[in-house]
Amino acid sequence: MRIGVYVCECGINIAATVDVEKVAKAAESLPGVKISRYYKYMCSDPGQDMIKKDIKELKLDRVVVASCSPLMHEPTFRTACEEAGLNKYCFEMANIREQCSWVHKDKEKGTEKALAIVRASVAKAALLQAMDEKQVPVTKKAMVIGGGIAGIQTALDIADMGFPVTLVEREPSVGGHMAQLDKTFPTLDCSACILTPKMVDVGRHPNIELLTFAEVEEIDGFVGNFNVKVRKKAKSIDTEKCTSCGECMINCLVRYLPQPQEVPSIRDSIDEDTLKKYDAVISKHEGGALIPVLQDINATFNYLPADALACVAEKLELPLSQVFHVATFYTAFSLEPRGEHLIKVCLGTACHVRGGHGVLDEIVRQLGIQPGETTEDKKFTLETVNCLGCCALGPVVVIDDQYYPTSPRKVGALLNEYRTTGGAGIKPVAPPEQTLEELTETGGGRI
Amino acid sequence: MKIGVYICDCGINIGATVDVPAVVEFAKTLPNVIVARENKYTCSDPGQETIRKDIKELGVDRIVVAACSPRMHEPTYRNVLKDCGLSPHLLEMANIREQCSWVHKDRAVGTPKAKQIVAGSVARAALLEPLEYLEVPTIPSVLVIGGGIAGIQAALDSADKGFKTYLVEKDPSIGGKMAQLDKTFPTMDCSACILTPKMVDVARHPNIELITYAEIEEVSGFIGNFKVKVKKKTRFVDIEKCNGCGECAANCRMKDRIPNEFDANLGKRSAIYVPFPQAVPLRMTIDPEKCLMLTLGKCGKGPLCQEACDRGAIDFEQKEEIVELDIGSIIVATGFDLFDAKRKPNYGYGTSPRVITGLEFERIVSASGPSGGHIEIDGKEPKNVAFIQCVGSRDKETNEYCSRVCCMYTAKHAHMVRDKLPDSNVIVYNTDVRAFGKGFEEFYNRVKDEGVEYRRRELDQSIEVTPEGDSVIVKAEGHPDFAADLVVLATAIEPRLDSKELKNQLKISCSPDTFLLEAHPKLRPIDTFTDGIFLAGCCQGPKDIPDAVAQASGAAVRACIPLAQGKVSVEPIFAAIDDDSCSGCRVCESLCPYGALEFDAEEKTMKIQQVLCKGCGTCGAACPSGSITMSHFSDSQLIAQLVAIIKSGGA
Repeated sequence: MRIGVYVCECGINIAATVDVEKVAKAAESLPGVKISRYYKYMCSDPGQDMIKKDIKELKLDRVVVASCSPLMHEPTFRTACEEAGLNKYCFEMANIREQCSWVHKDKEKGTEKALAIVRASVAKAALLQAMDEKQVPVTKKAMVIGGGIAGIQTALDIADMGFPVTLVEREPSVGGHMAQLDKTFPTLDCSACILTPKMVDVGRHPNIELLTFAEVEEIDGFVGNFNVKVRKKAKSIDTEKCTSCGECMINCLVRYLPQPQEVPSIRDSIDEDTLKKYDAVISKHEGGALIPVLQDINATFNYLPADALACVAEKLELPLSQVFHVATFYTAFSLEPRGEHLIKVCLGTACHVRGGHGVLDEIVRQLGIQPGETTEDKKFTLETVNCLGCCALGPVVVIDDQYYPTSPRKVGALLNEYRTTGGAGIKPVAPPEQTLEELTETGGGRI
Repeated sequence: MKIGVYICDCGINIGATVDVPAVVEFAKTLPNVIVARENKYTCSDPGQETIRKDIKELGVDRIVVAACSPRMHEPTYRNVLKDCGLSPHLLEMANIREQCSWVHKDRAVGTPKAKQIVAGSVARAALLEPLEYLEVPTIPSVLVIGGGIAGIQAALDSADKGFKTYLVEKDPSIGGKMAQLDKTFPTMDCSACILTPKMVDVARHPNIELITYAEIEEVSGFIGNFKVKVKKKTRFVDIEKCNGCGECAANCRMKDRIPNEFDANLGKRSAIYVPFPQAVPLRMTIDPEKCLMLTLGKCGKGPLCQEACDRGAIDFEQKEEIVELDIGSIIVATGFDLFDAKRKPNYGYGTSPRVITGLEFERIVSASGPSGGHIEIDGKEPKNVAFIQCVGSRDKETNEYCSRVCCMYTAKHAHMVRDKLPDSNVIVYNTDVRAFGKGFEEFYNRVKDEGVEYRRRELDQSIEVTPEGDSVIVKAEGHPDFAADLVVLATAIEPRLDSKELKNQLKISCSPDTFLLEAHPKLRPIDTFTDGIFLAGCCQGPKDIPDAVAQASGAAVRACIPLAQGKVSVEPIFAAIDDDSCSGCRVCESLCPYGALEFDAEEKTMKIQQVLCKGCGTCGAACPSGSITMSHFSDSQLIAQLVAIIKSGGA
């Protein structure tokens, strides 16, 4: 028997509480030990090299490392042994960090305990035997038991990864409890509307075999190699022939008809005045598309209040998440209140050439805000746009939809005017032939 | 041109409100229609068979199915066309169920409307063109942004599936907030003991490349084919040479003089440091704002760290580096910030060292923390301890949402105080106790049984914490005043400050609370609206550890699906640009939400990158010269459809 013992200082983690040198020295005289060393970090490359060199040169046939928990570095040292030609099961780890140095303060007692741990590990190491790991092939198929929303999603994802899946459901249909729900909180999406397409996907997926009205009878085997027996209950219907036309159901003497239910509305939680304002805007777009409604609300309130979005979702019968998706996607919409006056500085090609950036820099300097921000007094919100369709007037700024050809020098007066009179004292230039509204109409929702 | 029209009864779903035979007769009179049929269930096998037969025997080359929503069965019928050798895009669905029979009761209304819808679809079908699906190979690699527990789990699962995985972490070590915790509720597992092995697994996994102390600089491309630039910040340490022995830190002139962020600034570190002993990678980092060499240009007679390092790993000349990665899928796991309690002055945070946050308490109570796990304030064990919940949560002024974890971590803290200081009085000021998870209610009951007093207050009742002599007084409306030696605030989980920047880089959206937005709150809670980008952990919303880990495992599966398939198939609905009439005005460029349009400086025209285009049509509507057309939704198709609908009114 030729055992090598390696005691680790782990920086000061072990060395502060255990006299590592003393432990290594004492280990030399243990039965079977050929060599005993200590080092600052056994897990570092030089530490591992030390073990590999000794295995080769001293022909070690067992290795003991006294350091941290095997959870931490057993794989490291096993690999080192294998690289030097020693079977990895001939390696033993003595945990003198988590189980010794970290839980003691007294160096003398710590050293004594560490030595006891090393002694035990050396004794065990002497009896270790080389072993080979067994590899077992894996059946590349999965079974999902239960066809509710969790089972449906699991089956779809595994199938999408390219593996055959068997989905077993006890009831005649997949869908589970979610299929029985009317709406889902807190977005109040219609449960069936979001679930049904997934159920259809399961039915249509080439990798999914659906066994409904069936139960798992027996499972044996182990990971990668299960044998499952499934009992398909009698449906008394030939599923190959049935097209689910429902004629049979209508004629059945024992019928069950579900009752529709009423649900409370988000509108109950909004105060009457606000609700009236929202409705005034939304009703203009009854049955309309989402973006124009949002544009109108944005224009009316200077931003999109969250409860207004909830009303829109309800009115247009869209999931709230979709409304938020659109609202947060376009930069023209703001979810935060904006200033009294909205300043848009054009940085389109023509305005850029004519000094649009100078104008922007001056406004940034005077208001102390960056594009996208609102002044503290909530007077101004600053934004940049990419073309306003009036290149001949450039550089152009638009304040509250009034057009002003300007220059860095004129900016101060313009802002002052808006600060004091709200812009009443300045005559804006007539907008170009194509108005902003027209641009918006053709611009797919972005101003 | 031979159009076949198939009108479905859908059992009684359509047949009850629409006179289907009348619609069939009407369809036969429409231009180009050579056959029109009624089916009880067109989607059933016999129904599909009639279409197949007509394509083969009658040479039908455009199919109109008047039935349900295309969301339901468009894929079914497209497959029929494909089987018969026709382009799937020569199918047009007329939705006479959701958009007609289901919303009307009267046959007199339903039937003419169904006719109009069918007339529109037939007119559009005549103008449909065959299209080819675009298939793009996917790069078999995953990028995980953020190395907290969610990022770690996502990276391990992706790597275990056999894909090359890059884990990018902005701090010098992975581990995130979980590494700072002492114990985890309700099982009281030691946080480090369950986290550290996973961190080591990450470092050792052959498929994982760990890039720490680095940030995402730029993301371009699309699902399966992202290009990501990562900025590796300067460590001033060669991580190939460093073995983390710590000799340099022990010799640093700034030793024990710099607040250690990992210990919530309660402990001290050197200018060269590892954040905590179990750091992965265990490599030193120099704090460029605190190191004497890097701030003053000199350090005594020469930097002692360099002297102490026998491996020559310290390099003051090191420069930051940009690496470019080719990535198939991206998982965002950037975590959260904690609410700054100073924003609500009534809690007295910052006025006395006796008022601390939950995270500070974690470090104090942790055996590896600065006080070695002894709960001490000014060197003395506290006798009266108060916990205040909902600091920055469930509050309209700050965050309206509930942070979901504070009730339970407060219960855990209260338990630990009672456990370590059996003579202490512990009072928890709660608003509601939300103990909804597995084992949570049981844990809450256990803590109450241990003698912790819960004092409930309404959300609108006032609470004030003010220092007074050697203690702090907690005045809570409706309860007697409590003179505490220690007050621990349960601060809210907030979206990361930089999440807005990341949102823009990745072109993903936020919900109103500025957490990153999932594609669907119920059925796609891990996906984002941008294909190929997925969410895990608290970046999407407050979560406890098991939820974050579960979501991360899910994200890994979702992220690996396109990589396992090896290719992504892109629906061929794109914008197309007419080079001859495009003037290169670039109006469309800034409008495109997907960055699919590029200006070709040489030809002075716009070019479209088809895989990025979602066919939304924004550019087409904005083009001043009308040079952009949409495939499958061209102006001529839509106008023909509209005209036919209007003209057939009253038919």
